[in-house]
Amino acid sequence: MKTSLLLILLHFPLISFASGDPVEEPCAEVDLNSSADSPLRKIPVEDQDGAGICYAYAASTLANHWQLKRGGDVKKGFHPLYVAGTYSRVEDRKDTSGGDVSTALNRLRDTGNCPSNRVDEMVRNWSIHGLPYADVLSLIESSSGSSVPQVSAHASSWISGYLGRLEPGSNETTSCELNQKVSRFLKSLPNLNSNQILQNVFSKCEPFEAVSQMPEPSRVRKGTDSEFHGILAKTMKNGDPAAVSLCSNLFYDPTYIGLKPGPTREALNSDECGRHAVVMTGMKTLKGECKYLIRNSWGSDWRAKGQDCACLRADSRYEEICSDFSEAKEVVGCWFSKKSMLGNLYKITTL
Amino acid sequence: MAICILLILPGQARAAKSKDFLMESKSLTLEWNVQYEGWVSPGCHHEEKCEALRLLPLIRTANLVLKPVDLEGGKNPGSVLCRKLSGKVIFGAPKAGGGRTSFCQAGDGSLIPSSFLQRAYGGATR
Repeated sequence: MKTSLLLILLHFPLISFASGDPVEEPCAEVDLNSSADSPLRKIPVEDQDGAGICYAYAASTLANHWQLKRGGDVKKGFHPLYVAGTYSRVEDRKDTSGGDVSTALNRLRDTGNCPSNRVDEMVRNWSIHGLPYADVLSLIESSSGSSVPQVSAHASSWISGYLGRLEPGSNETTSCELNQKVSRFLKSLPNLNSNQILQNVFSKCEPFEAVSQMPEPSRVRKGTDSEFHGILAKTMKNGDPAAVSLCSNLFYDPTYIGLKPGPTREALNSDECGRHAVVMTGMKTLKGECKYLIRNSWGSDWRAKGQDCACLRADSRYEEICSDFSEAKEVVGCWFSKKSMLGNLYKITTL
Repeated sequence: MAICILLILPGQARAAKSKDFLMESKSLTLEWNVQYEGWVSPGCHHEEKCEALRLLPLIRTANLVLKPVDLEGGKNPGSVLCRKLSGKVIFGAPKAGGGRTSFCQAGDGSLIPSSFLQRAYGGATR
């Protein structure tokens, strides 16, 4: 009897280890935005507007962080439009909408980067007199889904609208002659898809800056909640952000769970989920719960319903929980409970 | 009665907080809308005086529905909604520094952040 009991006691730790989950990684207690010299302070929170290139915004944030951490210059960093253009060119895609963060980073490693100050310059100078940035994004959006030589009805309507704004008497300050040039240029666009438009914008970016020293991205698409949490905790402790793909319906409903239980991380209803790629920049215990800090690409004023959000104030003070949004220079992200995030998170990419 | 007037008047006269923005290449001073918590064009605090604010109830009354394809690639729902409601998207950033954000401009020239539309819509897809 005594021997049996001793055997059971001796084996108990093994039984426990074999049958239960391994001990879960604790909350990392890291906020990558909090330090005044954080690379994230130099990477502005972006707005992707109506262009479906969230993967490019997430990839450029990771790449810029990697470069700045090594003393790089933000002006020579990575521009999301260029990331989307490179991805689409190398993958020979007709449409820039939707993509994979890891693949985008790998294509950059393969082909090099056009510095972001050059990209800004090219976008400004594009189409003879320079389309406003929102219009470039709008054009990319409206051209998405169209295939050569056809163009979507949305693109035609956008171009007509743009031409309408160039009519004499409108607020445009361009000359009549220039208007005609722009009209001719825009009328040629229906023969281009969104990938070709981006190639057109970046055709003069030579030479490329080599980024071969950038590490190969790591991508995880399957795993238990505990495993996903562990990867994210280790990444945060290492001082790096992580690109996370998730169901964006969570941004409207804090109780939303978009994934089936288990390690496959499949969506319960892919129409409802709202697939999106964003960047995680912190993991901390707040109000007694482990929370993940999410930086979105829907503008520097984005806030998720029912969540606390962090901000950088106009006086450069950082507030983990923003007390007054009218004093914020930038809302750098919103906090989501670990439980709700893991119920919606289906892919992690790190550098 | 006199005390009541004295108490009310200072509140009414209080100017809205303002901030200078660079909208595309033009400079514009925006005001803080207390109700919706965001920067809007001057005077854009009530629907009667601001066409852009009148877009918000339109989302419900027009039964606007975003399909998954409308938001593919994580498009900003606020921008997509703005264009669907015939508004014009304009980018702006605080002059003092800070990230870029999109605004929705209505026919009368009034501006609201496109995030107002996104919050009024209330779901990734419906």
